[in-house]
Amino acid sequence: MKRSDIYLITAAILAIYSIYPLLTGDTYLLRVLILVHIFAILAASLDIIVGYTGQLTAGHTAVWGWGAFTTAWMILWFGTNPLLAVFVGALLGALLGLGIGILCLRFRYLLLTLVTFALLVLSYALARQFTDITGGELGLHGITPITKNPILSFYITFGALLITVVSLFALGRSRIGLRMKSIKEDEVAAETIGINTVRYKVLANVIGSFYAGLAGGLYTTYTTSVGASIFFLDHLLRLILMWGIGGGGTIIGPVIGAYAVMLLSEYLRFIEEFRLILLGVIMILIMRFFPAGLYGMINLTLMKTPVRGGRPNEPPKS
Amino acid sequence: MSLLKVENATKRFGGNVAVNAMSLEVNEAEIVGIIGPNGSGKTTLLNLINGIIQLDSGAIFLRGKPIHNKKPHQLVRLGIGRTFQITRVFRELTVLENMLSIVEAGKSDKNNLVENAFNLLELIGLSDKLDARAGTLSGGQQKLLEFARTLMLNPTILLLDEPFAGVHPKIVMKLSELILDMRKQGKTFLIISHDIHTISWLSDRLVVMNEGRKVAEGSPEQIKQDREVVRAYLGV
Repeated sequence: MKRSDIYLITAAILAIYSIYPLLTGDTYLLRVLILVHIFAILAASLDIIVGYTGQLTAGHTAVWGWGAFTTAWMILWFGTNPLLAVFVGALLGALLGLGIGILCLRFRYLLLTLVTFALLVLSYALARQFTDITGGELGLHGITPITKNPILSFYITFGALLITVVSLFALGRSRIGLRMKSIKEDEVAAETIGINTVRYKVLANVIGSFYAGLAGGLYTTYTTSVGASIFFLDHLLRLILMWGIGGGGTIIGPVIGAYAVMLLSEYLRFIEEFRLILLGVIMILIMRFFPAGLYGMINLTLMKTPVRGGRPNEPPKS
Repeated sequence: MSLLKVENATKRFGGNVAVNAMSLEVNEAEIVGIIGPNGSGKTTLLNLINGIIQLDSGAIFLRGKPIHNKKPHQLVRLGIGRTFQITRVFRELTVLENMLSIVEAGKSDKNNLVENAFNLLELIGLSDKLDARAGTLSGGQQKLLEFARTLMLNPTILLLDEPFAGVHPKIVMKLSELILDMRKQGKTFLIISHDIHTISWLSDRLVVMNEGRKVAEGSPEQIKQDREVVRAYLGV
């Protein structure tokens, strides 16, 4: 299939998807799709860190959680406009990304994953401990939503998703993205062609965490509550599934993964706890037979060209 | 003043002294070859000059200025380019992307950069593989690509680690001719090689290393007569 045909089909799908909320009376599906948008932003933002610079972070949902808390605090304590509060949550995310980026420079591969996972555990412990400001397990409630109208919420979150995907995709296609991919492939070689690997790795963390904070803010203003449970491992596992099933290193792949995982999770509710097991098996099969994920499969089927990306990074060379 | 000066460089890995009080000078537009048996410290020396690892003691100067505390990407800006014994092209990126991923010194227009990349790829015979993934190229082609990518940085001095190893004789000839052409344009080369024939033919001067030390230095003709060199290589 020609590239122009693919663009046409994509535009048609997007157009139908955009008018869908106006035509449907299924508010349940609308609510699910709003959450899909939020998790898709989170998954795409993870991709710029893991899929582009190869930093195997397990602390992304911690940034997401603190973005959510910051948004909640801005609204509850200072009466800030919810939209502005979400933006402040995103900024806090970027600031955390800067800190995590600098902190993690000394760590690579599995060690980096362990250290960032420790940050997630620490976040949960802090949220449980300081109940005065976090509400602990019960959480904070009564957070003013951006809007109570589900159709408007759909468009707001969908708009945020489009902005996220377009900006991250453009970044990935730029020379900055190229350098980030170089770092993922071979950090030493990247340094020897003039790439300041420290700067680019931290930059990826800041940008990715900004959008994670944004997703956190949108999540808390949509659910109107946030508690220590936002740091639960479930969210991280689900995020990894989205990234892996969709196809990392492509930005669009994790977004497709978010749709697949969230919709399957919703519509497989009847098998209860087996859902995560099933999704895990799907991910193993996809990683085994299609390392570039669903996005890679679609690309290969329609355009007959393999997608680059897939596995987070190769083992270090001697 | 020499372009590159290594002064009493020493590097230890645990109890093993990889480079031991090594001194070396390379002049502008000169081709200097480094030879020596396996484990003699040649690559470690290049890694020290290139900033990948840090000196334990000694100093390294470029145009008289100390550079031994600088990082590899900073040294690129000062004009040091590097290739590796085991080729380090970005296998998942295309040939053209490999060329464009560099960070050039100063501002440059992307069109000029693409044109420069295309010219260099034409020079090494890879201009018809712009969109091929680097990982799909043969070993020899990857060596050429890595060399061309380094040339994109417009370095003053190129550190080449085993550029002829495992490469077809035709590509060895091509690389050698390129190196000689570049030298005419004022580029300086420090080349590690086990290919004694080619490196002797190319180099103005050879430095022989053994057990982290410099054991001989001179013109290729002088080196071939040197007893210490014969002993280092043949163990007799």
